[in-house]
Amino acid sequence: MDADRSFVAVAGTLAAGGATLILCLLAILLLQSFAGDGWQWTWTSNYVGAFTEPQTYRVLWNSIELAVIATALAFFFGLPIAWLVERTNLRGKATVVAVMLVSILVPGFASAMGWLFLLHPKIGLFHLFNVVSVAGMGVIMGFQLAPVAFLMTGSVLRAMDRQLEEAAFTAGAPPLETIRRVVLPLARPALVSAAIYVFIIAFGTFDVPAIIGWSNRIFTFSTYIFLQTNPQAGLPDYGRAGALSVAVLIAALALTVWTRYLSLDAQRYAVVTGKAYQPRLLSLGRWTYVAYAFVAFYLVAGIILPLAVVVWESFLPFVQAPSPAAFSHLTMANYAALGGDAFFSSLANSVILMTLVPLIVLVFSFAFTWIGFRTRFRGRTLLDGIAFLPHAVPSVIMAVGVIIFSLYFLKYVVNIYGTIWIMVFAFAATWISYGTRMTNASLLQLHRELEESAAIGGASTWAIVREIVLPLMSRGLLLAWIYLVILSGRELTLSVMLTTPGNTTVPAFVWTNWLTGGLTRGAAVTICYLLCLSPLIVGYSYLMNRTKQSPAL
Amino acid sequence: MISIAGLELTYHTAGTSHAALRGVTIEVGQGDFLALLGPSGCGKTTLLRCVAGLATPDRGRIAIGGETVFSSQEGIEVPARLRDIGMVFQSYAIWPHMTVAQNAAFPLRYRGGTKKAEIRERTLEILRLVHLEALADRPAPALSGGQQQRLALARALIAQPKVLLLDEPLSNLDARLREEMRFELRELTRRLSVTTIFVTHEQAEALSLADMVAVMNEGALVQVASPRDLYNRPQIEFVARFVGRANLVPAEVVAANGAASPARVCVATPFGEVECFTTVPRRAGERATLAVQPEAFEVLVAAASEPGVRGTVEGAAFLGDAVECIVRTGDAMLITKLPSSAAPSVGESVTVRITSRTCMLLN
Repeated sequence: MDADRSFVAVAGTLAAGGATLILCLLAILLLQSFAGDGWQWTWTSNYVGAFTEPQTYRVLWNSIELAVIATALAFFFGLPIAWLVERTNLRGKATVVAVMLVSILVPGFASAMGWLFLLHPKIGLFHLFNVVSVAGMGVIMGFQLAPVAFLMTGSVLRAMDRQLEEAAFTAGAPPLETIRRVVLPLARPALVSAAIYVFIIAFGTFDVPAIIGWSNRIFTFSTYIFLQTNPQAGLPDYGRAGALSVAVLIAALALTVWTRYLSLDAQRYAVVTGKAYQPRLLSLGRWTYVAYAFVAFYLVAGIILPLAVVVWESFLPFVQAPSPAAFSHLTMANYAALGGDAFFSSLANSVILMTLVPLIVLVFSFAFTWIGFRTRFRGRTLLDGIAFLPHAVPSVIMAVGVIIFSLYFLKYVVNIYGTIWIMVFAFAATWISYGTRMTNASLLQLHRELEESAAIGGASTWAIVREIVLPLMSRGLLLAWIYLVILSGRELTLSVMLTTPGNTTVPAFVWTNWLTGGLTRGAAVTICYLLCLSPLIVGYSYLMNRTKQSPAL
Repeated sequence: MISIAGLELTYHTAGTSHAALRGVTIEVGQGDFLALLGPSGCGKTTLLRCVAGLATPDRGRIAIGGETVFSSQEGIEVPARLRDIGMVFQSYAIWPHMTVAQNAAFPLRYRGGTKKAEIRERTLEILRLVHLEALADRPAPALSGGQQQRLALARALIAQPKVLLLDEPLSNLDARLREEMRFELRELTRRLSVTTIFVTHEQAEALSLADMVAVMNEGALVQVASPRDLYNRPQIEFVARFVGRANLVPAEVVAANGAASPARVCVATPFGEVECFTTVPRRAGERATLAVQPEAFEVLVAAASEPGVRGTVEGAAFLGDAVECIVRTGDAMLITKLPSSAAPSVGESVTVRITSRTCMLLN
């Protein structure tokens, strides 16, 4: 076959195959929601069963309450910090940005542990408020999601034409008035989209309710689905889980579609002029210290303190506050216990995931991007949309889809349930949305003529991709790759949903320890693991600083 | 060398369609330098990209050196990499991850099966031609704008293509460099006798560089002529305005001409009777528009008794060797160009008349 066609054929097959798999996962979920055990069609009975039970409403209400509190708090911290970085003369902005971005990569279960050690009503260090409650979990999620809110609002502010603000300044409006009457109304559509995105993440979150709510039987959507598929007694109820998932999925998709409309609207407002000029930065004056205090409070209370407590507890045989007595109990026993096979086999599994998943995701993402932006196929926009779908789907729902798919369909070809491959499959399917966002952005930065001049120079599409496109995308790809490696390493939801004794990952191992009462042992595993991941995190933030890029959210 | 026939291309975007090319037909001879001139959006770059194989026409036929590279009828479309062409892009498209030599050598590695040892030799040779030999092993982003432009030219020429395509190659350079490069470009293409198509929206560039200029408007070729003819003998109003800043003067044919083309004809204008050219047969009494170039006017100061049209000088722009005067005559504004020595000053009353006998009656 002709060299140009063969490339398009390979990329097209990968993209179409990937899109088909994603659609299959969601379609199977839908089918399952209409079927009972052994695939007998029971139609609405799963839905009736799910929505006549009061527990369902309590769980959904818990999730909504958690998500509302989390979203509000995330923006309470994220929005002002983004504004300080983008619009004022605050010093040390680069550090603030780096720390905020790195904190996105801290596993949610790690800081959730810290919060529990800090604020548990019985064993906690402080008794400020009861963290073992829906509101408490909402607050924790708020702290965890603040960097996401920061990143999204930061890009909104950056994209806004500052001349609009300067016009208000020159018209004599004081700064706060400018924010209220010019900045916020202009940024509203984009801010609402960002808020909905954060809300969906918080709604579907697993780490915090799993670490904090589970043992106290406070369920949210994700942990409830987990309960349906891993009941303490009886068989997994995939029909019920499917019905609940489909209901939430439809709501999440509707919200996401709406945000896409909103962001179209936002493009109308947020004009990027492309003119390079030095905009006037607001001088903070005496307010500098207030600003520093605000940022410092967030960083210390939200990120440093919880992790520090995890470190402290990891050296203790049981959870206790710092005291002379506690110091005498300090021990390396938890770390020594890690020498066992269980930790190393889970570490080996995590390493496999961290090696394979980013590679697979990037290969597929590049295929999607190429078909979307370098060919004129009908339906290429649809392909891009399908690759974006998992973005709106809580991981726990993806996991249910993968389980049903591999248990009832894929097993006729190859049985991956209970092996590491089911995790590879689920991780890759979930993160194809991240991957395509990043490869899209990276390819769009390349001027078309760079490729065209290579074609004029006689190079086939394979040669153009090898010699021009990939080398020029290399920084963006490397950044995406490290991001995906870290995501693969820290992912708890998918791990726990898909784990069986044969394919435990480190996050799942932490969770098992935690459930079986080894709180401080869980802490030690977490700290060990964070140390393993830290070179990647440091490398990531270094590279991000160099390339002035940030992860696609 | 290049033969283009009946080329049509319509872009469809978001419900609207835009005809980028409407039945373009043109022949470019071996070694010719053709300029495609027109306002932005007229389809000139699209036409160039069709020749390169970077855009696909809906209908028509393109042949390069006798070989059909595109034909909608026969279903032929040779991909860009297999056409015997070199191209300089508007952005230069210099690959930033390669050295100067690597950039220049790229086409040799993919075209024509050159041996490795020969590649280096020929690369240095072509770099010498564009005065970049000393910078061969520098990283490409270290080059200045003018150097990047020359590197792009070297890369386009290294595989000795039959055809060289240039897409506004001078538009990103500053004025002085542009003059310099214009000269170098002409020298180089003449020496290598490569058939060249050059896209530009600047008439001075087109007129000074090309053997032939093809003026495009709204996707169609409106006039193809030598620079001299195009300037002196525009056939339609668009060309007269776009190429020469000509003044358009209403005229009535006094005496009919013969069948010869171009023929001389006498017309009556507000400036008196004027002898001019026409390319189509005219009847006596027929109304038409006369294109009068700014330098075709004579502007006399304090000569109220002379025949001609009275006017006032509204503005004057000093151009060095000449002065451009805007003269108001009644409702009309005339652009005139006079030698610096004879220029009137602003506000002065003048008499304007047409002395040239080479004005063109538009079709």
